[in-house]
Amino acid sequence: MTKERPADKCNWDARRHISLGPKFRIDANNPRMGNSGNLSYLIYSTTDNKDKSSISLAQDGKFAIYNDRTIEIIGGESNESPKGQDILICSKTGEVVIQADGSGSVRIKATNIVLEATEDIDIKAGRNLTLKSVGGQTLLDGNEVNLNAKQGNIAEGLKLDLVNQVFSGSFVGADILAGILGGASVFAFNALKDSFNGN
Amino acid sequence: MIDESLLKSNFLGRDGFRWWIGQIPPAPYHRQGAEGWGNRYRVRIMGYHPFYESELKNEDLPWAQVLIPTTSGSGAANQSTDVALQPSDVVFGFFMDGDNAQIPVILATFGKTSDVVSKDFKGPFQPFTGYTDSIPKPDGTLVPNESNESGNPKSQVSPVARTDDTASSSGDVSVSSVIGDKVVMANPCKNTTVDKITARIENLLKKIRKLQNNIQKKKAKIKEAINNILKDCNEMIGNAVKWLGDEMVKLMKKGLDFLYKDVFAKILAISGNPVAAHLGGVAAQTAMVKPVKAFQKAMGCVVGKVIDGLKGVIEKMINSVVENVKSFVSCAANQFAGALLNNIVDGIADALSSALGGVTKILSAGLNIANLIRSSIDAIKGIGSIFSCNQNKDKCTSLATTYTIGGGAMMPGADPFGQISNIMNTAASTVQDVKGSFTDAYDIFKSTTGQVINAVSNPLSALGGCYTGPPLVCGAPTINIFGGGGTGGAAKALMGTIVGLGAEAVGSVIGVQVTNPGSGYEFPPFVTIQDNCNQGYGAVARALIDDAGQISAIYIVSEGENYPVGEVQNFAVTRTIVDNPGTGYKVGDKAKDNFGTEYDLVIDKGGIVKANPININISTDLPFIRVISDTGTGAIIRPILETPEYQDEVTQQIDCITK
Repeated sequence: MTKERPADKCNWDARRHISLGPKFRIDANNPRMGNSGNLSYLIYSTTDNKDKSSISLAQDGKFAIYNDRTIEIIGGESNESPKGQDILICSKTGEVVIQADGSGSVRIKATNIVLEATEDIDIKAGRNLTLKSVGGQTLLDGNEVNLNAKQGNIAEGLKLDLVNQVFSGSFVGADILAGILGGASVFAFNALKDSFNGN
Repeated sequence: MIDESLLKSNFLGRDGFRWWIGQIPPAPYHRQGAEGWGNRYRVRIMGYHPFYESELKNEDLPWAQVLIPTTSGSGAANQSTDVALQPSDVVFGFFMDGDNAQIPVILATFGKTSDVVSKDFKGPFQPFTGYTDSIPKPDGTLVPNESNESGNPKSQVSPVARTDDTASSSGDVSVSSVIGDKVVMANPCKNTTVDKITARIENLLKKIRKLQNNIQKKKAKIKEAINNILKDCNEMIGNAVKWLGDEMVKLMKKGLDFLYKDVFAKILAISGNPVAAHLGGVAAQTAMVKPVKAFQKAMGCVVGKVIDGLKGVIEKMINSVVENVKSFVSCAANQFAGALLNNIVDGIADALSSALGGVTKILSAGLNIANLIRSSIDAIKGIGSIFSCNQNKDKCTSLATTYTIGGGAMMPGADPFGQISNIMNTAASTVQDVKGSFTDAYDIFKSTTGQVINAVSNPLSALGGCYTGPPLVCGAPTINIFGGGGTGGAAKALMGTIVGLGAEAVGSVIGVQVTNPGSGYEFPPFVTIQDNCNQGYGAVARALIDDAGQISAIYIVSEGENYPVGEVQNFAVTRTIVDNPGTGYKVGDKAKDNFGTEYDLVIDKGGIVKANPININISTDLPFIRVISDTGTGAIIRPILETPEYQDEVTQQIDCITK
């Protein structure tokens, strides 16, 4: 059972509210405690279907927007320059976390997408990572480019695949492997070599 | 009478005002409908209209116009705030036509108090509810209330920014059911699978508690959690398969070498021809190319196969958790993960079994893939070196893994993989039918008490018990300090604003005493305050560090409430932190708090640089320091509470009895 602070230990004098029926209200300086302290203000609304929506500022400085259904943020309908900024999300000190926490995807689409990091970019996929340039080139350009894989045409071409690793140092040479496995690794290697030579 | 009439000016106010008090009748008679004219309400006026509806029906009451405050706007130039009168409102007004009493005008309404009953309409001039069919009483989205009392906590109770659990336990509504949900953020530096699964299950249990008897929604939430946990397993399976690939290369290389030597020796012994022996050895190795290739190919499809096979197991485990577990504590999470991992390991072994058949010649007899994976913590953890000489390791230090919605970043827990690996291996060595016990892994959550879980049904399992019921003893909140690039910081909570007595007592965190300043802090670390029962909420504190990289103080931003109270001591403001010096302050300005402590201010260039307490007063609540100045603004002085050290040295003893 929750025991709140006694009313005389809370500042009820400062509380102001506007309640426009059971589905909308603005409450300012309500001293009742929340998880981040009491709310400096709360704008709260519900629908006929009991979906809730609120905007609030808590005592720890956290500005929160909660909405049970979709949130739309659209900007720039009247802007004219494609180089202008229609929507800006900027954090001044800490991280920006964007997360689809259920089964949904994070979809980002634009004419051009720029990911720029002053240090590192880490991309981690639980299963598959696909980089696809449909009409142009896929370029991996760096001071050092490494590949670590147990199979695939590049791994086989570079003899990093499991078969080549197992048979390296054995009496079964690349020519025998190519002969048995249909020469895939030799073809892949030559294709890769040509691509690096710019042919 | 005629004289009076003749003497009337028929000018509003010159013949006196006829004030009245009346009541708005119940819906649908209270107001003109959508096609009505102006702001008009029916009103039953005391002293003019009968007390009984049978004598004057509600629908026959006169219309009253409504005057609107000047701040509301008339509607001109889109300046408008509408009239909010509702049935049952007691209104005050006057007659435009004086004694004729045919044109009532409503000036204002009396605010309802919480003592006014809120029942259906029984008869005129009795209090009744303002809720109607058009404006029904809120159900679950707001606490119904029909009072308008300034400063009364019971009037127009708003939703609170707490979890559904804590809100409902005080009869409140939470602003959002997502408050308290845990979000495991993307992390390039560590395997967060166990954190993700733990968060999914904790969030699920929280939702299930709220849904109570809504079976359909409960099922949907469980299904959603199962699907998400399945996806969370990808990383762990991928790590295990990747690690296995590396190990298999080493083993098969050795086996291939052994195969060559074995065949060479046998042919040489028979033929005495080393060339023939060599060719035989090479042929034996060559014969392994296709089986090894088949094994390589099989490895590429393992993750998907294992995931497909896990669904049923996870479903059973989750259902068992939902039925039996009240508190998904870390030991439960680890046992859950251990059971899940044993199924994953078995799944990998099953998925590779046929491909493995072709390469048995180059593997040691009796090689058990499952046991091989279980033998290494790296297999499941997937540590992998992601750092090259150019990468900044700093990106991984102080990186929060989990965030609580409505709260903030959580202190990272201890690395669970050592514990999980132990659970897996202990189970493997102590349970005869390992596969059986973990294939029926949901059994781990069944026990005689329904609260203690073990990796097997036997509560005396070598894995040890894990209590997952409600906490038996709630202790004072602990201060968690993490991040900031440093280590070692520690502090204890100082409790005040105590409500209740003894074990039932709860309170607020009115101060934080730093017990170890730690070292190496590059920026202020995160501070979280939590009790083992998750009972308290709302306490927020911030740390300050000094130039030496140590924590100089932790001050309270919000004291919170409902925390279990441990040892109660006396605290006083012993020093302060000037969070903002402000501007315009002059020598002579003073400061004091609500417990009577006065502060000596040191002012430099108009800003307060120091505020030293002059006297010591015990503070039972969080003190608020107010600066008294005619010219200065903006200063924020934070009190630091500590146990006061009285310097009342004994200088003389007087014996009042013998003298």
